[in-house]
Amino acid sequence: MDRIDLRAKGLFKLSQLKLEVSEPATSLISDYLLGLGSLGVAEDIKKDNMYEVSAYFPMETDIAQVIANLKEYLDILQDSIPDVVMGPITAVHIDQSSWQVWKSLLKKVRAGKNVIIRPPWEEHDAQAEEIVIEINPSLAFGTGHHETTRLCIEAIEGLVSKRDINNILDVGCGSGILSISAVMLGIEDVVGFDTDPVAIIESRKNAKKNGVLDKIKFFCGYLDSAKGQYDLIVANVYIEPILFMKEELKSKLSPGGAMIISGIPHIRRDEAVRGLKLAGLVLLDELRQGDWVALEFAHD
Amino acid sequence: MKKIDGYIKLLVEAGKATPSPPVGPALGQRGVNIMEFCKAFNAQTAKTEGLLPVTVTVYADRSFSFEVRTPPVSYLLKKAAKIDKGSSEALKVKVGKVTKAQVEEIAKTKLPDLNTNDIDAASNIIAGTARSMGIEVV
Repeated sequence: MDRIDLRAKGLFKLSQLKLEVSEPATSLISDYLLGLGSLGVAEDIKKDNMYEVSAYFPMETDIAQVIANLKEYLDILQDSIPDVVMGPITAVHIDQSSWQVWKSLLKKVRAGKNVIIRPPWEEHDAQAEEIVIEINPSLAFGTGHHETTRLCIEAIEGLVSKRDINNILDVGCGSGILSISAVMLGIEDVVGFDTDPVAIIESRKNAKKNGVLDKIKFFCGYLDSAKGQYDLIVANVYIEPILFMKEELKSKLSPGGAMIISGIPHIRRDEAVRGLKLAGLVLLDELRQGDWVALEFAHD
Repeated sequence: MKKIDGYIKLLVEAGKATPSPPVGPALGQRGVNIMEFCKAFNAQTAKTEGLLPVTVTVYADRSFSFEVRTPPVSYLLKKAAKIDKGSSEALKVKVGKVTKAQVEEIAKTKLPDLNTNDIDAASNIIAGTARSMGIEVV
């Protein structure tokens, strides 16, 4: 359990041990590997209820012994957990270069036609029509690296180019990326809220970084605290809360207003459309990227 | 829309997360902003000490959240008994002692993670762990 001071020892190489297991055994195996002296364990979600468990050990660890101990433990788990599935154990050596890739995995991305989202460590020379937003990938959803975020920005951009939109409500604002985009695309009155206080802190930080903090009202709370009606409502949250809030969302939408709903996997698109139709909303348009959709609704 | 990609479990010293292992490899390979994690973890644990188990949830767009739990019972017992490691033959070879008061103190610290509000039940769990490590409760 005692941590080895790797920096002092100049050790920046590690042994990485991996195996795939089904869900019930995952955390037991992680805890066991931490007990065997692993410096850290990751559980990556794979298909069919499987997880890939990766454990990192100092190079001087006798990995053959660790594997032998782990196999004994897996035998115990197989006897005590019905239907547990386990793949083979593999071990590789990794060095510093393999974990210094994180910045290269978080590059700038384009959303819609002209919005560029960049992390603080990437520059972008904006072309004539381009809008550049800096978002530090951190503790709130909305880095630009997910299809639903980009779909929402594309939808906002499209609507702003077609009609006058005076105000927007950003439901579940996360990093604040959609509110910031809305201001930079020309919407004057922007309100964003989230139930997670960390998201509001992150939203404010990001808005400040982009020089638009004074143009957005962020608050931590629920939909019923958003007063008035909005020309545009954007909600990039799970389908369940969308359907739960459908009546209230409709009541916040101005006559003639547009509501963009995302966070919807394509396979659940029909369910979302049916649910919102019941609330008196009609589907006007839709965008798709990969397995995700963004749906535009209006009053029926 | 916080689609979860995976979980990362780490043991990190309170207030001292750095981009070196274990934080770097576990988070960096998954594209998580290591520096932001270190800043947030160190701020949250600045007034704590010791090795803390932390579970980082990584979302589909590489944003993340984390939850810090209390130090492992074995760590707290070793610290209380002032020993480096437990006994490999716990029943035969005793390697240290802790008092009942120390056990109760550890039980209070661990209450949130032990699924009980009963301090006596929690103390029994801690005492049992101590015995399994070759630490006598006196």
